Amino acid sequence: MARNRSAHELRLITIHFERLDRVDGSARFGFGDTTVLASVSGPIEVRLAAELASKATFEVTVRPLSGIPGTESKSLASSIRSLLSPIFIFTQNPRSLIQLVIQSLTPSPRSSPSQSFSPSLVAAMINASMLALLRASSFPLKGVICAVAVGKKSFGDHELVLDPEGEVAQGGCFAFLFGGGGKEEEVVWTNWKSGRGWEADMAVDGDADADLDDARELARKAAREVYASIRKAIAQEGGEVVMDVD
Amino acid sequence: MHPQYIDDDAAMDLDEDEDSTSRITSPGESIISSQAFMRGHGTYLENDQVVSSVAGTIERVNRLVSVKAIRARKGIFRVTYIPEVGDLVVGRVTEVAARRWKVHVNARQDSVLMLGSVNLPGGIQRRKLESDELQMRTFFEEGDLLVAEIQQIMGDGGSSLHTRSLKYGKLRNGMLEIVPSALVRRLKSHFFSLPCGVDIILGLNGFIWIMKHVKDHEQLGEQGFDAEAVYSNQNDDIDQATRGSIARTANIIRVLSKAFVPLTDAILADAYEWVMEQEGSSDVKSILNDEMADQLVAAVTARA
Repeated sequence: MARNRSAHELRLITIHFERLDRVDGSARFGFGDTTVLASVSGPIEVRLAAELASKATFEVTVRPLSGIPGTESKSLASSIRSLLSPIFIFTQNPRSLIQLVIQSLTPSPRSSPSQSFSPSLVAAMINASMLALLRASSFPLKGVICAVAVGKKSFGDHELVLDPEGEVAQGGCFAFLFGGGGKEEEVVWTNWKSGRGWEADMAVDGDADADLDDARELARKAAREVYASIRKAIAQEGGEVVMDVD
Repeated sequence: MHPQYIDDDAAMDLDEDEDSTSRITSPGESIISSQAFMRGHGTYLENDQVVSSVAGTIERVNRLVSVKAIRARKGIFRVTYIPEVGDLVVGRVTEVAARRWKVHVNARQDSVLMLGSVNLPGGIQRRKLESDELQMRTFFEEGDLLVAEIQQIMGDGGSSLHTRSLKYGKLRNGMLEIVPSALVRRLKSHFFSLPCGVDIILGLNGFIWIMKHVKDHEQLGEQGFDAEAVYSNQNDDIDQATRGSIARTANIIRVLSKAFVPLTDAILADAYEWVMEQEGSSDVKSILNDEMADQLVAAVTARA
């Protein structure tokens, strides 16, 4: 599919606070057509097996648009859980549960029938989760995490592309921690994959490490835009935000 | 090309002489040094700085800095009810579980009503039998409304109810009106009658039950505790005039709650009296139109 925007341009960011019934906070986030709905409840009652005496328990569920959540979903949920955990202050609400449910609203491309999540979908999931957590406002947080995807559509490409639609040959999603004013945002997580082993060695570009550094910096700048649009959405108190980013 | 994503005044400069203007903040942002200021809700301390822990607006009162979360900003009052022991609440049964019912009371979690906390037919002192556990829907079913008292609060904020009084139990012959829970104050009695033949139950969770008046001599005594009547799902016949009164009362409550007027028996009685004095009071809906609503609020708050 032809890309009709520049290599360093994000798609239109859409943020909408859904106001789902019976959950504490919910939000929808989209990079263009890649949209995700997240909802969070907590602190709520926790089942005995998962109860922790001095901390809250944090559970994440990822659901694809079609099909039953399988291994990929469970694996991604586990990654999202560990990347979001550092921003919580779990000790404030011991013996309770904070439950995050992430629902993808984007169909997986026909070319990859297995339930895989493209980097921009993963980035949208992280951002939607963050918005839902902020909207809930029922437990303390230490920062805001924003994520953006970067990649190369095929191996021969020289240029890294921001917010690629769908699957990538090389690339991944970067998540940054904001908050702590002045300090540069840390990368808290990435699922960057530099290639399929021997093909990466054969790549004309050569230095896979340089690629990773460039990708990270490109993602960092774009994550700031995501952060700005999140703050704008908060300021508008749950109203719909559609931000044209250039 | 990319906009500056963080404000230049990231280390906030709180001018002590001015009123604090609304400043949006998000978790992790330093607000002010904790050397001179105390931290309030929505903040935590880190490295001698007061740091925000929720997304919202910064509020400062003298030396106290707090962050009001965005969730609370829609409307002035918090919407969910926070239960406390002894509160009278009106709730709706959502689930029938093992030896208990789950009741929705507009709080963070559904309240629990244990089978052992209700009056069973055959007299108040009757003990619970195994057959009762299997016939729980003969008492309360999903969708039933009931009035109960909060018996206990659990560690995680959940609550349990009891209906161990003749005044509590299943509700019928009336309608429900929902208002923000903050508008219902703790009063000596939450049951009262209006002169027009209408009884009101003010639930502290914001659920208000308006029903046909129950005459004193028809109130059940201990000897008369009869399951047929108490757990019956059959409404009495209600005449047009009473229906009109009930509807009118509900409209009055709706108008007052939109204007954030706290609800007490005195205010409701005053309001009803005022409405009956107006022209066109025979039309039950007349109170809902804006002009009349504003006049009602003005009249009621003036008398208070």
